[in-house]
Amino acid sequence: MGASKVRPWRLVTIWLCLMWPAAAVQAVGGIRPPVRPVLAVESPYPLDQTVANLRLAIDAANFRLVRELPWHGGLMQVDRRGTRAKVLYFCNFSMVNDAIAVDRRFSQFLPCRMTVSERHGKVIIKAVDPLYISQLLGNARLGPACYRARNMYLRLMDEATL
Amino acid sequence: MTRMMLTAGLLLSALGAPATQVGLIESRCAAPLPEAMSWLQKVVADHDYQVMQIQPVGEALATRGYRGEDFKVLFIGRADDFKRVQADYPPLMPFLPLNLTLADDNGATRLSVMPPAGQGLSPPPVVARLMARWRDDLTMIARDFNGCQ
Repeated sequence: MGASKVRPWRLVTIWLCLMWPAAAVQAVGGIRPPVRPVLAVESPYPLDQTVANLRLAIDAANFRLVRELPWHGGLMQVDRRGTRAKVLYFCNFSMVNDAIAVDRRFSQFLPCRMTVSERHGKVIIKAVDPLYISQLLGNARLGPACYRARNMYLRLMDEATL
Repeated sequence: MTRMMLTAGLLLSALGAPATQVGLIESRCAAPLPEAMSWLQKVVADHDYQVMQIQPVGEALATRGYRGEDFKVLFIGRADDFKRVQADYPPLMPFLPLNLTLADDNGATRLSVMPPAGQGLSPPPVVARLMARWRDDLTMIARDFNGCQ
């Protein structure tokens, strides 16, 4: 009587009762996106050449280059092992205006930005996937605008690394 | 006794289960945008982050004829965080610097920020802890922003 037996099915029931509310809380916090959060394309060119290519691609795609800064923004010294990175901030005002009209929270992800990094001789262009953003915000109406932005990002990356 | 210990163990495992949290953090300040921006810069500095740049996106849209709410984006960071991400988990690089958006809200100002989420990423534990700290810090910054003068 004192040393009572623990029945497995009872443990399973308790575990499910505890886990389901936790899962529900997680679901309310956001939608689990099926897409990967980051778009990344490797460049065959050195960093400076890749940045120059990207600059041209941004201009050709009717985006406006807003700013170009070291990734760390001067907060840290250049890595002695040779890691370098730059961020290009750019914008297409018409596209941005349309997206904000659908959901003002989209302003959270402006201006658009791409990070170009070089490590051990390997240059990669990275950006947060706009489609991932729309899924995080959980607004299906943002989907078409973010899908267009995603395709545009991929095109820019493609042109810069061609 | 055994049953109580097992139940406590299950409870702890369930509480620790949600490994990542996503979602927009929002806050409001009664002051207009320029004053709120000054206040936010002070709050950010109080939390040991440095302001890296301020982007007046709303103004840029307005000068091109797009009418909407005025908003600015504040980029912030810490040197140690940049070093950590660069050394331990470069896929997270596009999420830095962290950015906070301030928007005019009928004469008051609304702050919104989306901390980098871990879903779809598989950062090592040290970076996962860093991401959790960002969420905590940004939540605190949003809370302190609410107390603007």
